[in-house]
Amino acid sequence: MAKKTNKSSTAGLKPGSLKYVWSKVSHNAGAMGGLVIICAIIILSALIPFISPYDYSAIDMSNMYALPSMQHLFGCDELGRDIMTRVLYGARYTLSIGFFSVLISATGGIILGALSGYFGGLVDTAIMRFLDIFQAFPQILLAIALSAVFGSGLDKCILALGLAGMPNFARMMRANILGIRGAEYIEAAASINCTKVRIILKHIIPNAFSPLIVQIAMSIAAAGLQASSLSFVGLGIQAPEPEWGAMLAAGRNFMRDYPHLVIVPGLFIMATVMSFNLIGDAIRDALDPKLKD
Amino acid sequence: MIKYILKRIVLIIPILLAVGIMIFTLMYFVPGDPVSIALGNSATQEEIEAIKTSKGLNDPYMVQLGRYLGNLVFHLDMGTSYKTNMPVSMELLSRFPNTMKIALSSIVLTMLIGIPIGIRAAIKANTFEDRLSMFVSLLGTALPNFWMALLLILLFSVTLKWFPSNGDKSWKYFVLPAISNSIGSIAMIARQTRASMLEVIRSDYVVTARAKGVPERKVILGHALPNALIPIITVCGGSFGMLLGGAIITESVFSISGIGTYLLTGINSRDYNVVQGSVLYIAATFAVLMLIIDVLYAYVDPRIKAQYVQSGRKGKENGKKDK
Repeated sequence: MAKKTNKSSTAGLKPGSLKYVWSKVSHNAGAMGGLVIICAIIILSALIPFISPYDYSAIDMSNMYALPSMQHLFGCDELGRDIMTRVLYGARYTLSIGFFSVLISATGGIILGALSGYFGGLVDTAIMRFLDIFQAFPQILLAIALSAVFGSGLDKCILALGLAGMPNFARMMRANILGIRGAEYIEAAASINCTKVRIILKHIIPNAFSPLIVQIAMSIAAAGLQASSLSFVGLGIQAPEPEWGAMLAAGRNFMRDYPHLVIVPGLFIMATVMSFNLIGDAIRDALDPKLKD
Repeated sequence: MIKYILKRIVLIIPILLAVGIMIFTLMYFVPGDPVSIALGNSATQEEIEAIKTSKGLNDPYMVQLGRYLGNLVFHLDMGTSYKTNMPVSMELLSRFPNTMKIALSSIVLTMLIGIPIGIRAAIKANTFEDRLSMFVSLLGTALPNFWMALLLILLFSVTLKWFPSNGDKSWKYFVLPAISNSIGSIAMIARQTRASMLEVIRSDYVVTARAKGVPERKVILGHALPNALIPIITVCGGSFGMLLGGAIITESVFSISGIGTYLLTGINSRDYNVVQGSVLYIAATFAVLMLIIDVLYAYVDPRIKAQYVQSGRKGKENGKKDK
């Protein structure tokens, strides 16, 4: 949407280079808004033990279901725990699950996809047929099945979501490499006697990676969303830990009378997911040669 | 074409077998023991061991796997639940319609609402209307479906009392689940439709159609839309998976007895047969949905259809007619 491209800012920069992408993204109001929200959530969740006078697990029966007020900005939950403190602690879970599970799925997927695309033949068939099995389910079902096997907890949740997301990255990386291998500029590079190493390092890798950046941003959002879904149905991170999905699951029993218990954590999930999506969108636009100014 | 569809159906079978082996193996390594959970704390160790032996749970992995697959393939039998002793396949069959009601009505909602919004936004590109609908769909893609479900319950069940908040007795019970489940994919489809419509709307054949005086409505629906449909169908395919998976979560919010709630209770009581059966059922449904999407491609795009027809002919005449 809000695409304010400033010609002078990108002039002289090579399209596709990091600087070029950044200068484009930094002129995208939505993406910058998303970046600000994510940075704010990261900083606040890091500083929350020092800012908040409350402990996220401290039970205070005199403040049960307290509505939002100056003392408790977002009110208190069914055990009188301060919701703002809990929500910001919860951000640590969502963000770390998002980042680390995508780290797992991106690393694993890129390696599998690159092997598959580069070697082709039997390796390709073996890897791809194996991934077909994983892609026979909706991703959330795979995540549910894997976290049923691993059990609940932060590390296990990261592992389950990381493995569930791997096939997507592998497929994308494979498709990228296959597309690039036959491209004219590779042929051109080879024809001017470019060494194989130089072709791989200078041409194949940078071109195969840039579409993955978009996928990474989007996957962090999706992983955060899936983590909260898992916790909501009692897998993933479980109460009393202040994970957002778990908070929603605990609050839903009381929401008829105290809707603030479910509104605040949901808003935080939405803001986080939307921010990553906005950043992903902006990077995609910046990398799209059709939209070049 | 029919040959292609048959070929695809045959290809689904090895995938489902592999899924069966994988999910069996995963469940085999789950810590926790279904029998002791089903019998409760009062059971003695001897009782537990006796039941485990009678159910064959003490057999080696390969024996158990072979038995499971054998029953599955030759008798379509998915075993019995350790908790209720009911056959899993019967239970799944009775729960399947509820899950499909949610999934299919979400798919219908997604296409009926998402595509028109996207077309409208593309026609009115960069106007206030476009910006508003795209902003709303941006929010929509970020909404967790279970949170949407809670908000809808708050508004329509608690405050307005229009729709019931849990159960599955009549169509009224499925309105809120379908809406909450489809919000995300409606938003996704709307965004994709807008993007691919914008791409074709500037193309030469649209300009030509306009220039020769074709009414605008026909230009959009007859010339632009069919050409924009391919990427839209791709996204639809992805969102079918999302909707089917989302139905699992949605069922648990609205306490609908579908496969999702069955799966989740199965996980909590370590009821392996229930978990394996539910996962296989959903995987099979997913495979069929994906097949439908692939066939749809062929109907929408004559180029793809021509490929199928040609490859069929190629098989018959040993590639003589292959161009």
